[in-house]
This record gives sequence, C-alpha cells and structure tokens, in this order.
Amino acid sequence: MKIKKLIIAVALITTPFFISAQSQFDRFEDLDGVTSVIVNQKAFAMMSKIGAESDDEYLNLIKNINTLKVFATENADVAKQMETEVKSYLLKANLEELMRVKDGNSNVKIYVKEGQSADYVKELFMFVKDGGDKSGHDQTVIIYLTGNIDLKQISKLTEKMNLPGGEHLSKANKS
Amino acid sequence: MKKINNYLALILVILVVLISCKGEPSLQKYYVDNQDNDNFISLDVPSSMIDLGDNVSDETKKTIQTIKKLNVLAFKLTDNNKDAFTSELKKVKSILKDDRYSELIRMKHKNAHIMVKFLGKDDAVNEFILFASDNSKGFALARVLGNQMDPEKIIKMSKDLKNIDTDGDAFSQIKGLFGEFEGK
Repeated sequence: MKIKKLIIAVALITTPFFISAQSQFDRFEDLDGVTSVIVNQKAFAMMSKIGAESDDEYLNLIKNINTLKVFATENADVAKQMETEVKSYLLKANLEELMRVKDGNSNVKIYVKEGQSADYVKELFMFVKDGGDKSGHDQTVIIYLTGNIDLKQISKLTEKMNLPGGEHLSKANKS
Repeated sequence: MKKINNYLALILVILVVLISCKGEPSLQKYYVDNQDNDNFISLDVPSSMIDLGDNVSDETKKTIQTIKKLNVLAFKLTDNNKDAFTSELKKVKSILKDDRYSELIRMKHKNAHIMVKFLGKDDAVNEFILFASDNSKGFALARVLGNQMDPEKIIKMSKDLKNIDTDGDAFSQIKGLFGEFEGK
C-alpha cells in the first residue's frame, strides 16, 4: 500500500516535467519551413535594463517574462502537425480559454493559465490559423509565453516585437 | 590523524588540478585552431585600435575599456567543402550547447539560424556571442570579448558613438554589431 502511494507521489511530482511545453513545441524548430523565435528570460531582463524604451509599463512587462516562443509556418504539412500538437497540448496543459476569434479566413484561439490575479497570467498560449490574403499565403502560428504576464500590457509586446498575430492580441486587450 | 588530513588535502589538490586541466572545448580554442584553416575567414580587432578621439564622454571611454576585442570567424561554404562544413557546424554547435553560455535569443527563418549567447553575469558579461548559420552559405561566429561588460552601458555608448562621424572598417563593423544587439 505504501509503495502504491509512493508511486503515485513520484508520478505526480514528475509529470510536470514531461508535459512541459518545452519538449512539445521545440521540435518544430528543427523542421524545414518553420520560422521560429525563442527569447529567454535573460534577454528580457537585459532589454528591460537597457531601457531603450521609455515606457515604464512596458519595461515592467518584459522584466517579468520568462520565455517567449514563436513558431510560424506556411507549409501545409507542418501546419497540420502543429494543429495536432496543439490539440494534445491543450488536453494536457489545463489552460483556460481566454478568447476565440474567427474573422474571415483567420482563426485565433488564445488560452491562459491563471496567475496571481485576474489581470496576471502565468502562461499565454496563442494559436493562429490564417487563411491569408488572396495570394493564398496560409500561415499557422503558435505563440507561447510564460512568466508573470500583465494581460493589459501584452499587446504592447507583440506590437513592439512585431510578432505575427499581434493584432489579435490587441483585441484580447479590449475584451 | 594529521597525516590522513594531509593526504586528503593532497588528493583534493590533485583532483582540482586534474579537473581544471580537462581542457573543455571552448570557442576561444576553436578560434585559435581554425584561424589558419583555408575554409575560414577570421578577423580579430582589439578595441585599442579604435581611436575615439576627444569628442566622446568619459563614460564612453570607460565603457570601451571593458571591451577587449571583436573576434569573427566565418566559414564560407563552397562546392568543395560541404563535408567540412557539416562537421565544423556540428562542432561549433556542440561547443555552444555548453551550459556556461547563457542563451538570449534564438531565431530561425528558412535556412538561416541566428543565436545570441553570452558568458558571465547579466550585468558583467565577459563574452557576447553571435552565431549565424545558413545551410546554403556557411556560418559565422562573432564574439565581443571583454571584462565585465555592462550591456546597459554599452548601449549607452553605442548611442553616443552614433553621433560621431567615423571612418575605418573595423570601427563600423563593431558599431554594426552593437547596433544589432540594440536592435533586439
């Protein structure tokens, strides 16, 4: 009986390591046809110190970010893989849907993991499927952000870093 | 008892010496090993070569002193050195994987990879590393070596330097590199 409890305890402790998004999405980085950006906590810390921006709220926001990962593709095959991966991640990761937008050909889903208060989240996960313009540039984007993130400030980040799908986040801001 | 302690101390000393002599592959060693290799283009610019003149602030002068040199090693891919490219790329990547190098940013677009890392503490950096590779062109490893460089002050300096008219290749290259860091 004791052993059973022990096994359960070990399982509970180790699961977070296995289901971390790290391993789940990083593999896209090595695939052809994927554009990726990974920014680490130290980079945000340095950026906030350098103070190239005068906006205090913005500096505060980036100071509290741990990781930013963006994976984007225009390749239909990879897009399919991303979709499957996102589905399985959402099943496991216990995220809350913040909003879902369907606008013409584009489909945006934003999920968060709740943090210390309603305005702050521990994780922000965004999945964008863009049917593209008439020239037919389909784009699929995964954005994964962790830290202590102020939702009210988040659109500033995407604006300033010129991330794909940033315009959708500013919508989240208004809701 | 005292004797045993002495032995223990001796063993400890030997161990420490052995460990420190293990000779971990470092980027510096890689640079030295390959700067005469025909596949590589290398460039080494000591910061003392930069003559700032008198029209810069004291702070800028102080900051530039924390920078020792700029060091670039590039592998140009041709039709004849594809095998060497693959193996050298692998070597550099494995060196860069070392935990000592803290990663700042990693980017990939089509065939091009860019990676920015540093060695040291957040506000006392001893080495900035910019690594870029493109499977159809080659790879480049640019390093800014220094002694406790403070990114905050360096950015300040680069702003200061932008106001000065300068000529000389080495200088504009260094300026370009800082500009790149700032851009991120």
